[in-house]
Amino acid sequence: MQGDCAGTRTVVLVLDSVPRVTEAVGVSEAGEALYLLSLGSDEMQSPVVIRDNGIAVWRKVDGERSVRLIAEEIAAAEGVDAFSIVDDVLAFLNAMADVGLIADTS
Amino acid sequence: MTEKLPQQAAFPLAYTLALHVAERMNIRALGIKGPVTTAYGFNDPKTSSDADVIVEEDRLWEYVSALEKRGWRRRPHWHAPALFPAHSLTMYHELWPVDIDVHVTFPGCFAANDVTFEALWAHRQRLTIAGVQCLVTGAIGSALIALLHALRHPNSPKQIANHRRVVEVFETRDSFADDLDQLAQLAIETEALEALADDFAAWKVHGLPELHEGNQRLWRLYTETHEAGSLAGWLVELRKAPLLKRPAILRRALVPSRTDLERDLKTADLTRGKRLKFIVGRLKDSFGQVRESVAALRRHGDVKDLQLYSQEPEQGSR
Repeated sequence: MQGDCAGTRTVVLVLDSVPRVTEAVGVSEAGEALYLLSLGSDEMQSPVVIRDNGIAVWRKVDGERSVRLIAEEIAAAEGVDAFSIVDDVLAFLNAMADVGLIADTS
Repeated sequence: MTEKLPQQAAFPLAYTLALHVAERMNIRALGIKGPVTTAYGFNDPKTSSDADVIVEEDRLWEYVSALEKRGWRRRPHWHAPALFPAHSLTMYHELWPVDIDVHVTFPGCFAANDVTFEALWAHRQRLTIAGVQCLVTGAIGSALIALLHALRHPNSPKQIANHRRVVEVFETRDSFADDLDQLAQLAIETEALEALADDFAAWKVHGLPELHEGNQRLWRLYTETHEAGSLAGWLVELRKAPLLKRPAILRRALVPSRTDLERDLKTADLTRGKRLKFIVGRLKDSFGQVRESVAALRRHGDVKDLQLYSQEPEQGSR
């Protein structure tokens, strides 16, 4: 995931956190990538780009699923053990939180 | 290395950014053209090199400052005389492949800028762009702008086709009769009747106020000269200047400054060779346009009564 910003970090997600998309996030597609822009943050000067597994995670952030559940659902879809991907999912979501794209509902 | 942002992705996001910045500051602004025009069927979806918004003029510079806080910069404006008051300024960002054009009015609207804005604001709607609800011109305001935009280029086959498309789509709306009344009313309020005179005549709209002769002449002059850039402005400045001042004006016109060239070429990396190449190319292009611009000015009448303006809205002015 790439971007050009320095977020104001207010939350650290853990496995039981329930992430939600923050208000005012612009989402645009080009090719097989999604471009996300936190409109509420002056620090985010240009969109971040996510692909593949990042998009799969992003689409499951709905303010109801926990980080753990997101990892389990993706793992099931991929036919792998959730344990093998949960750290990556958590790291990805924390990176998104770091730039103000998601917040913790719980 | 930061990945380059594709224009296709950037275009709708630039709209959401531009409009959200305004909304956060309680500055009234509307998205125009681009996805707004597309939403009403007046054109096919496409990606452009700039996102357009119109903002309330009283708060223009606050708005510009807010964009500057997010890293956007004003594109240096051309230090050349213009025949018409500036209708917009352009913001750019190093990391974005699209600009944001910040309008205070739209060419063809001869009403005061605040009057035009209020008239468009009254017709505003919400539209989802890039997943975000944005304030944009409504169907009638969008039709007005789409028509004016096409009519600015009366000799362009592409714009002639665009104009025809807007007219056809407008005519096939279920609410056409009511819409036409509203469009006429909007054209009266924004003083765009002169620019849309032929359309209203074709639609057999009756009871419109008499056309303002001065606005008619100015619109005709605008459509006949603006594609040649600042050429007509320079010709008028030359004509109005005392004889002794004309050589200096001519020099400024023929040999633009480095800053103006960097603006035109959108680059800060301008070698002497590139500068010379651009100037020579521009002179070649200008030769054909000079005759047309002179003819257009002659048709207009006495050019000494023409006021000259800056290429960008003046800071601190209304």
